[in-house]
Amino acid sequence: MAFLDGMTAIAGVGASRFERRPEASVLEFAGDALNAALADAGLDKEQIDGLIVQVGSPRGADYDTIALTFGLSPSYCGQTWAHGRFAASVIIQAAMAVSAGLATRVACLMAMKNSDIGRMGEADNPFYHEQFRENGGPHGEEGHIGMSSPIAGAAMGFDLYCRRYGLDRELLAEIPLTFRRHALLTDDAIMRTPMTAEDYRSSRPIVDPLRLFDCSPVGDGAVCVIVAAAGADAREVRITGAQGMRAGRNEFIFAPSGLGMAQQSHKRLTREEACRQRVYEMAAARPDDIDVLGLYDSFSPLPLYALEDFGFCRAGEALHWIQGGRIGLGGELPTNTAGGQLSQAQLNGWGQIRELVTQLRGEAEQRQVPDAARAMWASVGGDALILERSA
Amino acid sequence: MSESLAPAVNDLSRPFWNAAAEGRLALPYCVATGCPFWPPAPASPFRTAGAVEWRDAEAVGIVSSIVVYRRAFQSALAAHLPYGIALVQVARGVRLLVHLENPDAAPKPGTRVNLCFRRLAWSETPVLAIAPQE
Repeated sequence: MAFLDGMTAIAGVGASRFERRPEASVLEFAGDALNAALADAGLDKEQIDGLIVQVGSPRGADYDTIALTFGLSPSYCGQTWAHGRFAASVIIQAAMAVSAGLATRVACLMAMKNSDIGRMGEADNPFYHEQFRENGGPHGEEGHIGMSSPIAGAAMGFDLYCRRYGLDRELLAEIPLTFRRHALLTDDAIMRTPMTAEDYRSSRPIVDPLRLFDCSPVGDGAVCVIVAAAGADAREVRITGAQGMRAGRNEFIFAPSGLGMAQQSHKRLTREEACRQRVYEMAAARPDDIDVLGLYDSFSPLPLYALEDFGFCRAGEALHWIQGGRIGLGGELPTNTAGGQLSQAQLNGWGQIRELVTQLRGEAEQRQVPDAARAMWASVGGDALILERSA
Repeated sequence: MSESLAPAVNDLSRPFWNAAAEGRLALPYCVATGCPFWPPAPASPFRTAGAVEWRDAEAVGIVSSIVVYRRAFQSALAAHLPYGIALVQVARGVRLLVHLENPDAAPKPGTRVNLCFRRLAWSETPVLAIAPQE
């Protein structure tokens, strides 16, 4: 039984400003997002009895610090690792806690500050440590041979993807160019300079085949989402479908399932398998039913893999499928309509989830997708949410 | 522990590094299936609590893909730019990452290559590299 189906809702969402300011406190960002979400939901802080944090210290603040600092008294707390990728999983955990009666209103908070990582010193940087994680870093890093930084896994995955399907890497430009156009319509986006195809092509190579403009700009900010039982008010956005992260020998965080990276097989999901995933079954929906999409895009190739693994197109087709404005505002499947991690702010996907809520409420102003009723969040890691506006 | 780019060698990975020091490629094998695997594990990933045995493997492979670093993420690496990393398929589907000192002369993906172990500028421990091709 899909017990999450429509029983819980996003009751409020809020964000801090997004910037790069080493002298700021991460708790200021966290507080701005928390208070904005509370105001949005029409709640007082005393009504929050659950708290789940993504990204604790040293880049963020841990759940105990958050509760202490803001005078929250949650009786259900959780926290995921100090990293990206678990946005949907945090919201799913909150929905489960509400469904199971462990909490009634859960604040899901992602607050992170990256602008002072340099101050910590090279070897104190969390990105330095993770390249020596036992059995390899979280993005395929192996520090002893110089395979360092998350971009390396994204670059290797994209090189392999282009070779496997015989694709021209320059087609990738459509992703950063589309999301930058969306950011130009987004007041709080940090990348608000127009980007041309030539700007993209001539941007600095970082790790071939990826360039500077294939990378999300790491910065500071926070987003808070409040999950509660559905039925409280007309602005709420119901959670009608959900599925968690995949892991295992057939997965690589920056490649689709079965691409042939690391120890993956070469067995990709068929379109039919992709369309029968749990998130679709739970929401009784198919890819064609999605009006607006949010995709994880810390590096520009990653949305391609989610489009394929969630059945919007077949394996190997996404780079051609996205061309011609298909994923832009006004296109068939508007995606990352506030600019995504690449151009709004690198917030581990929380910016996209906030934008989906805004779209479903019809409050996206010049970015509004007409009649947006069903939205989806999906990541290359396999986690997904389907959100629907209140009837 | 001091700041270092040397590999982190421990009880689990030591058979690989001991073999590497002698110029041999050793891999963990699942005893039940006879299949090599990577990364090292105390129990086979193919069988519940399956026994593991380290065996020598042929130090050859096929290059799957290549990336080239144009930016250094550690100051110790800056003097060595550009350098490459290749994903190489070795024994029975196991894939390993290999350092490329001269990416301009790197073998093309799809090419069969001989592997060797070489000391890089930043570490005393020899690591996997591509041998000069015949």
